[in-house]
Amino acid sequence: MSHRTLLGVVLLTAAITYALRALPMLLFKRPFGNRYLAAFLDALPYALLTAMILPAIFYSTGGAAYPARPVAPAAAGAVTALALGYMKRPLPVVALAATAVAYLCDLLLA
Amino acid sequence: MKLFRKGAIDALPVFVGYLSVGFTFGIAAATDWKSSFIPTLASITHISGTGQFVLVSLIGDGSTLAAIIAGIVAINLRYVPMAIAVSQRLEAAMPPWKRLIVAMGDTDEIVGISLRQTPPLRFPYMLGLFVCSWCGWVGGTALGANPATQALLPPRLIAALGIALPAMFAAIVFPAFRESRRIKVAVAVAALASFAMRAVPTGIDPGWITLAAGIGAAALAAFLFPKEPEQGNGQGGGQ
Repeated sequence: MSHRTLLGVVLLTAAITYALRALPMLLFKRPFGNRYLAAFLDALPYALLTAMILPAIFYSTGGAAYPARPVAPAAAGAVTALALGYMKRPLPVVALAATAVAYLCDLLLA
Repeated sequence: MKLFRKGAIDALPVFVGYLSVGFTFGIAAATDWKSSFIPTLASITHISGTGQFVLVSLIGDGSTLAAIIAGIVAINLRYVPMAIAVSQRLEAAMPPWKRLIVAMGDTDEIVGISLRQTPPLRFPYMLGLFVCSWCGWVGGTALGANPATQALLPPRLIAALGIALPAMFAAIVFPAFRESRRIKVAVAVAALASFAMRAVPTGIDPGWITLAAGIGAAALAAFLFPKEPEQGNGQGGGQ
């Protein structure tokens, strides 16, 4: 994707995001009545995030340095993230701990 | 001014969190997009960690524009009930242009803080929350996306930092997973579907697989566990 296209995509999706926040502020002053719709909107972000991180998290420590996408450091980091997430640790703590474990695992295997 | 300052102080923990998470977004997006300006612009205009993660993930998969737009709408759809929840609590006399500014800073964390205040919510307070958290998000991204910062970090560490964003999202999903049966079903079904649809070589665009697995799982969970009638808000949560 060229930088011009990328810029267009970023700005277009920013406008969509803003519309989703702004229109309800102006139009609605009461919560949703439909309990199925409310439940769907409640579950949707978690379901989407799950589909996005699994299985992608196992290939997430690839990058330019490792075209071969080693799975072991990412798997160690992923297990750390899932465990700390389950223990309800704050987001930055989980992100940094997973990174540190993936990094250390990578150094040990090298 | 007093209320603005109270808002900014209340948002300080969010500022710190956004600074570190924005930093990792900046690194990931700058590496993928080969630009330090575009990731920073994304943080200035989107102010949505999840939405920006979708962008990096779908653009990285080489998704079509239609899949990218559908992904952004789907992941940010939760802002609709969240914005309604905040809208109800804003002072009644607040003019539309001020409501439009409040809407800009409507992130999960800011909504979380707002809903814990005694209504009505006044404009200077909301502005303080918004400006403080926004500075952390944009500042963190600009730092992470800066080539000078990246030159300081060893390539192995930058590769390891690739896990920071998905790790953060695991930290959003799992506490909610423990709390609610609806979310347990949604997460389990989405994970199975995402693995299964990728294991079988269908030739479907990865972006659509993510969307289909996520939307299908949420619909199934909503059908099995509809919302209790009197619960009006409390949707969303996380970054």
